[in-house]
Amino acid sequence: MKNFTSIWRHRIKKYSAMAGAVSIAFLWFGIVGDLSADVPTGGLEDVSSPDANLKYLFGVYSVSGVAFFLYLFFLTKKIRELKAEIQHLKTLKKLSED
Amino acid sequence: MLVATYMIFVWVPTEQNLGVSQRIFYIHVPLAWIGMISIVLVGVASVVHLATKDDKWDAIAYSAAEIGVVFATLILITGAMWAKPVWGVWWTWDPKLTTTLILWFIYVSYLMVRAYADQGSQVRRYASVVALIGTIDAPLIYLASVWWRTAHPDLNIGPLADQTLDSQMMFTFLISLLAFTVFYLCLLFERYAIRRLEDSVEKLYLDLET
Repeated sequence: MKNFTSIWRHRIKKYSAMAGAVSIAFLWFGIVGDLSADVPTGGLEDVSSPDANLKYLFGVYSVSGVAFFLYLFFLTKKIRELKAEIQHLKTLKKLSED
Repeated sequence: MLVATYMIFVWVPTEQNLGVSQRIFYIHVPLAWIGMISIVLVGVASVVHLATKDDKWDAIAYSAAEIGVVFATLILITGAMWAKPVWGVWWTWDPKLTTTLILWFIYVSYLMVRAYADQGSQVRRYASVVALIGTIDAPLIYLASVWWRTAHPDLNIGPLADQTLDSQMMFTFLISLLAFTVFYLCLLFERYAIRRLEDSVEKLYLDLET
């Protein structure tokens, strides 16, 4: 049976790999963005009307909300797993005492 | 948080030059502020842990790093989403943006060092060095727009800030900053409690094995 540490280490390795992939994608987009910065600024969004750029504002709040929700979900899941782990340990301890 | 959201969307006036996208400021800047504060907390807690050998401080450092990476990721995403309508690009290698990206890598490096190597005092020492580098990076991010020529807007918070904001905008910003700080502290307490529980479970496993 895998112990608690190895299970979580495996998961963190998985998350780190995902973070690495995200960072590579981010750098790639960064380079693309930097290259496109040389293009004349005619491509800038219109900011004069009240509804202009509303999608970016909506995007920022949506992304932040989803990110915090996912992190809270991750914490809740962790608490549930820890409780199950403690229950399992109590059973093991009881068995060893018997 | 609800009050802050109401103020941002309804109460505060729209900025004339940047339009609606300026409202991103009320979420982006508090996220950035907390992202920087969090890495300083990781560094300080790591140093105190090394000095006192008290696991409580290590748990604080780890918790602050984990929450910090969430905030740092959001700084980069919200910053890119604000840059696109204002600068015309998602990303540019501006000093402030680059130092913030370095902060994100520092957070990830800290968590990777903790995850990949075996737990022990040696690993905690290595992770503390990473955290200290991050602590140096935090003031660099803050002062980037003072020291280097940057496209990023001037400082709005802290001792070197230009008080150019309208009073309604400043009030909304302060309420948002307060809301995010309280939210961060709640997350930190929660994560710290979980981390202590994880340590206890690990010790119980070791007891059972012996």
